[in-house]
Amino acid sequence: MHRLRTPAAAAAVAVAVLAVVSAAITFPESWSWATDQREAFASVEVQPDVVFRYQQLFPADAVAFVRERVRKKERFFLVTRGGDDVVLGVPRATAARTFARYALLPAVQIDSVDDADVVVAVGVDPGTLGVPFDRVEWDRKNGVAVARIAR
Amino acid sequence: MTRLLLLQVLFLGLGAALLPVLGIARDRATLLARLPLAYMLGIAAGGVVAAQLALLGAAVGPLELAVLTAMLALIGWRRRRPSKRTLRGRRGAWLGGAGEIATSVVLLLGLLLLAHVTRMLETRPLYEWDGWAIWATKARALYVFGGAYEPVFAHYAPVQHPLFFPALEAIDFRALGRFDGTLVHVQLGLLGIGFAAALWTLLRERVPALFASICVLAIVSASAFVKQLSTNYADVPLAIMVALGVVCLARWIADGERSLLAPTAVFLAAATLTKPEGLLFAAAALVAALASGGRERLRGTLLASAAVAALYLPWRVFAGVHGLRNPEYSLGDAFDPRYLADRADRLGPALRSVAGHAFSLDWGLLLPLALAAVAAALLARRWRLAGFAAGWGLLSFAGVVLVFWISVVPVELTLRWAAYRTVASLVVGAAALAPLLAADAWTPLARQRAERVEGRLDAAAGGQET
Repeated sequence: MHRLRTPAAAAAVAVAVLAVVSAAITFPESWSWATDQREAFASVEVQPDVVFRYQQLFPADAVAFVRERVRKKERFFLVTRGGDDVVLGVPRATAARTFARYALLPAVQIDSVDDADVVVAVGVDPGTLGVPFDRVEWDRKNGVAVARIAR
Repeated sequence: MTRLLLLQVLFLGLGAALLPVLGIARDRATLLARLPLAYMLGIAAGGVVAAQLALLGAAVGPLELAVLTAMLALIGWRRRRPSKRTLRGRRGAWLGGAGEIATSVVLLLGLLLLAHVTRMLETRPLYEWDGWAIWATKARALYVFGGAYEPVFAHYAPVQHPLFFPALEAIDFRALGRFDGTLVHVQLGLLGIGFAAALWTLLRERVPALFASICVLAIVSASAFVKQLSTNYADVPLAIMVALGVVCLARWIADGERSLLAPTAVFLAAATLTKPEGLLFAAAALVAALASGGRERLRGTLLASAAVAALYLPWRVFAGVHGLRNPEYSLGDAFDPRYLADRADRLGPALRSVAGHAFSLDWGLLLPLALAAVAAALLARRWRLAGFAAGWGLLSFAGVVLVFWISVVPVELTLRWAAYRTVASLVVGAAALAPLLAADAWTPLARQRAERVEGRLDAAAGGQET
């Protein structure tokens, strides 16, 4: 084996062997993972505005209810109840706000009710904010309210 | 779906037009040989342009891409030159016909796996947290507002993330004519396929084709690569840009391959505009290149650095104007000994976690493979290349650890959230360099040739050794 006479060539062969072994270890796992994922997700009915894994934060029809009442670029403030972490290090209220800012685009979530056009309340009464409203509309089934702030 | 695939043809066309314009392929033969690089070049360039224009409130869609491609193709056509054999392909030279068959089989295995993953991604909705909470939210906002609408992009956390990845996905939504959180995953699978083709193209000019194919297969079949690619997180797209940029830069450092300086700049700029860590990996590459390249590589490396900085600058200006700060860490703290000493208890967990994830079997044996390749390069006396790879790897590793050290987020949380994916660029980049590092150790003849090249370079540099 002329090519293996030097330590450098041996190291290069080691690289090739490691690459082959690496692919042999990971290829079957990656292939079967992709197969399993396809089987798992192929039957899932996906709605464009929701992430089904986090539907408990904001049900799909509640998202539709709010989207029908909040216009593009309108600023909304989300008020929700607190609770335990939804995922590691993310409390329920933060998770709900994060989800709402995604799901309610092109309306824009803001951090202060003073600058908002609309209050979106999930699981709480928007009246508890002490802000005057022109109109409050309820989705009683999901406990979601859209309250337009009086100007 | 058809529209999304037609958009990919546009990206391919954009990259193909850029090949002659950027001097990557100056004649027809080189253009054909480097065509598999075109798709990723088009993605990187298109994404960078879209990210810059988004800052000005201007949207990029298929029409704009088509116009840009047509203009660049015209410029490229006017610059065409007669064909001549300028590439030193080493395809199958050491194994003959059997080697070529094996090369094709191995490469096809990698592409088959990525096609299988892409087919799965066609059905995969947004699922993991950051995939929708950060990246899809920003991509959707760019799509619906036509640019970086200030109330969103100056306030939706994390504000410090630049716009390459969401700008790329916003182009997808414009091609589709709607926001689609499921089909957008197909783009990620195609990124994987484009990466395999581009990396193989860059490697095979210097490396036996079978060896290049095996290493590409090892990278793209790593389960961490496949799983993270599927999540709509930006870490694997970042790793792809970093790896391609680092390999182009290594070819410049090792061989003086001037035609790869432009793609170096494009890919590394795309990396800086993908995530804040992209700046770390790109800076580490450029510093390592400056340190290892010697005097005769200095000007080219500085030019590439200036191009990366120029392409990154608009984002920094936008961030400065809007007062966007990274709430998790400030790089200035890295230079404050008292701050570092106060948080010294974070160093051990950060070191253990980053190293543990980098050597995890989820990445296969990619890092051991890269370390063996550095050893092979050192034994083959490829000082510049070994110095560049080791320098980039060490700086990148130290940078990742440093970020976790100085972060204000509780260490157990930040390591659990991010360490497993922050190492993606380090592992993929190092593994992508491995074939280049080991190639010249294959045969004594190749080693002697490498020594002659090094000798000539050193003589040209006035005896300066790296």
